[in-house]
Amino acid sequence: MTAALALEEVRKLFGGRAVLDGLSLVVRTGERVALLGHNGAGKSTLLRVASGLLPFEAGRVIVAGLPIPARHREAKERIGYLPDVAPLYEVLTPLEYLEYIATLWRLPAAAARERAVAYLKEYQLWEARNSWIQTMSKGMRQKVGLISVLMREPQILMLDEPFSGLDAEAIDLTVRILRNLSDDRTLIVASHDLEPVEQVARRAVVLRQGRVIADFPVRPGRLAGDLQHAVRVAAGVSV
Amino acid sequence: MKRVLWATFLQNLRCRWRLGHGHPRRRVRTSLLLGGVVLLHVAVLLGWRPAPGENVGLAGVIGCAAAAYLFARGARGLMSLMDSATDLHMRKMAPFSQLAVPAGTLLGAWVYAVIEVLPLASAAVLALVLSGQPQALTGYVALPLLGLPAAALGHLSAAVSLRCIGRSLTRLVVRILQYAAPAAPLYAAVAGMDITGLFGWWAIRGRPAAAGFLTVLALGPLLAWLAALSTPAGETVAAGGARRTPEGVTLNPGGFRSLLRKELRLIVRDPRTWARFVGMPIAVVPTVWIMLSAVPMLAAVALGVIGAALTGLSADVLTRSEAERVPVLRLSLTPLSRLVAAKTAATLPLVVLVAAGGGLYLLSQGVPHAPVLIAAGSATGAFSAWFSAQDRFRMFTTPNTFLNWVGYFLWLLVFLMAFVGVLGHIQSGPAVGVVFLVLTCPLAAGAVLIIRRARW
Repeated sequence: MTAALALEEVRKLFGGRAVLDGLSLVVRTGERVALLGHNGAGKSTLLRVASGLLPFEAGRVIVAGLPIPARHREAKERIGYLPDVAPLYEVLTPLEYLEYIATLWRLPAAAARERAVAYLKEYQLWEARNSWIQTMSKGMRQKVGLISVLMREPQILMLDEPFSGLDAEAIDLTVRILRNLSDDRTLIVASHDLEPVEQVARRAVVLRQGRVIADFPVRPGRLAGDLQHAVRVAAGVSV
Repeated sequence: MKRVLWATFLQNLRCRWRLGHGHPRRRVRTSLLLGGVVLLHVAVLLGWRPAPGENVGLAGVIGCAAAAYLFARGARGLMSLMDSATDLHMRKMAPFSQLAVPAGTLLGAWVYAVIEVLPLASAAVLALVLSGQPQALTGYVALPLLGLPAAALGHLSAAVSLRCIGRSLTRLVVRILQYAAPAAPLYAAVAGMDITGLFGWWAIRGRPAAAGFLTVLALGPLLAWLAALSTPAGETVAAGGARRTPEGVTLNPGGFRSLLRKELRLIVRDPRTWARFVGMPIAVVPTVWIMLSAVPMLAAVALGVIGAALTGLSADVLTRSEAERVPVLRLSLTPLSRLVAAKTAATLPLVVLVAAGGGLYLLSQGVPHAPVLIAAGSATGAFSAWFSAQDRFRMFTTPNTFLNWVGYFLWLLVFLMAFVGVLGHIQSGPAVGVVFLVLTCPLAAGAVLIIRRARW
């Protein structure tokens, strides 16, 4: 199976501090990967580097066989990235925002309309479709952000804290949608919410100080324990 | 209360510095300010100063300009406070006097504006000292002191205005003040008006100075307290106005028209955007009128070309607000050139309106060539709007102060060439206009090439 994402010895510095420190990671097409780790471990930076938004100092990043940044223009057709704070416009309505997103990504009007309406209804935002985003709660904004990525149906989904602020029902729906992604689509989720991550991901990658310290398959009901174990082992604590 | 006030003040000052002159994207502005300060001081030392006995008005003009600037900054400070959800929550929830946050904000606005104003005013102080008024050195103390009541009065006036005419209109008035107030005294002095009586006491030896100092010392704290007291409670939702669009709106993505529609929605719905955008031409008209009313033809060309160009340039507010959406825009399949084109197109109606205003004024004076003025003004304004949008986008991903400098320098040359070219066309015939047009093209092309060097 081909690699959807390959990072080789990637080094990213912020003001002299290495946020990604020679990090290597390969995610194969169709994989569901969870990026785990403490705050500041490098999860969000990894996603931003992988999506081509952040330049890096050393190493190689390849998305769907396309080197970044040389062929970023082609690579970004395949990427669907949601930052930790959904980048919305306060004075647009969800419908207008989704229209703008569909325009930016040149989605066919009929498909965009159909998907947007379906997701807005599924996420129970249909009633609020004509309300300005500034009047919405954090969870509602997060839903709009998620819809804006999902409606594009990208090949590689990179979601940074997608469950943040969502109510239980919306988390279940998001988990269901992500679990039902077709096999040719790849999912990389950075999150602290282990419960939904456990239901979505089949592989966990643990980061610490910009390096991969553990990489293991996700076993139902045992992610928290496995994570603790991996962190202890990496820290050199006997278990 | 004192500790809270001090902490709020320091925090406010820190934020102002980091979002203002200390921010990497504002280096051009900061270096322009420093460059201007150095040039003014050098010019004064080289003899560009009033002769002894001719300097009566200078102290008053500088005092008046400084007070006007501080007044505008005080008003602007209140509007920023109204927009800051964090400050509003702190005021409502924290177990200390509600006066501390507005007072700290006002003090922050005052000190920061003084830091901006004093280096510029220093050139005038130097000129006064060199032309035989050593007591003008008190300006280094008097002008900051004068600034406190001025800033407090600005804060107070904005607070009253918020209650009387509402948030949107107040925002517009504050924007106009910010653009026009500091320069108005200078222009008025150039036009020969005497508006300087109250503000020149600091350079006069003896009783006027003492009386001025005492008045300012007494008024400053009193007005600051009143200003803090008058600060409205505010609401956390910033934009105000209707919060819902009519039913029946359907999702209809479709190329450039859809991009333009989004830009227009952002302009029309957010007072922070339209006040800044519309404020510029409203501030330009009286300024041009004060300065050039004696030469109607020059006033018309200044309005048509300079007004349109500044209006175009002020449209950078549309791009500045995109900072948080850069990931979405960069990962989208829409090229940067189309995003910039949409922002430019959204500003065109106002730019053309200002240029047409200049053309109509020219026509009303019985001078032909209005179509040339309107065309040149619209083209300069459109170029300025494109330039500001492109440059803002570039700075998000590829900040480079040197390129910024060179780009803005070329823009300035384009803008001056257009102004002089239209004047030449009207006064000396189309040949002069064509020569300037030909000279302007390579400059504009240079600016385009430099500013387009963005990693996107």
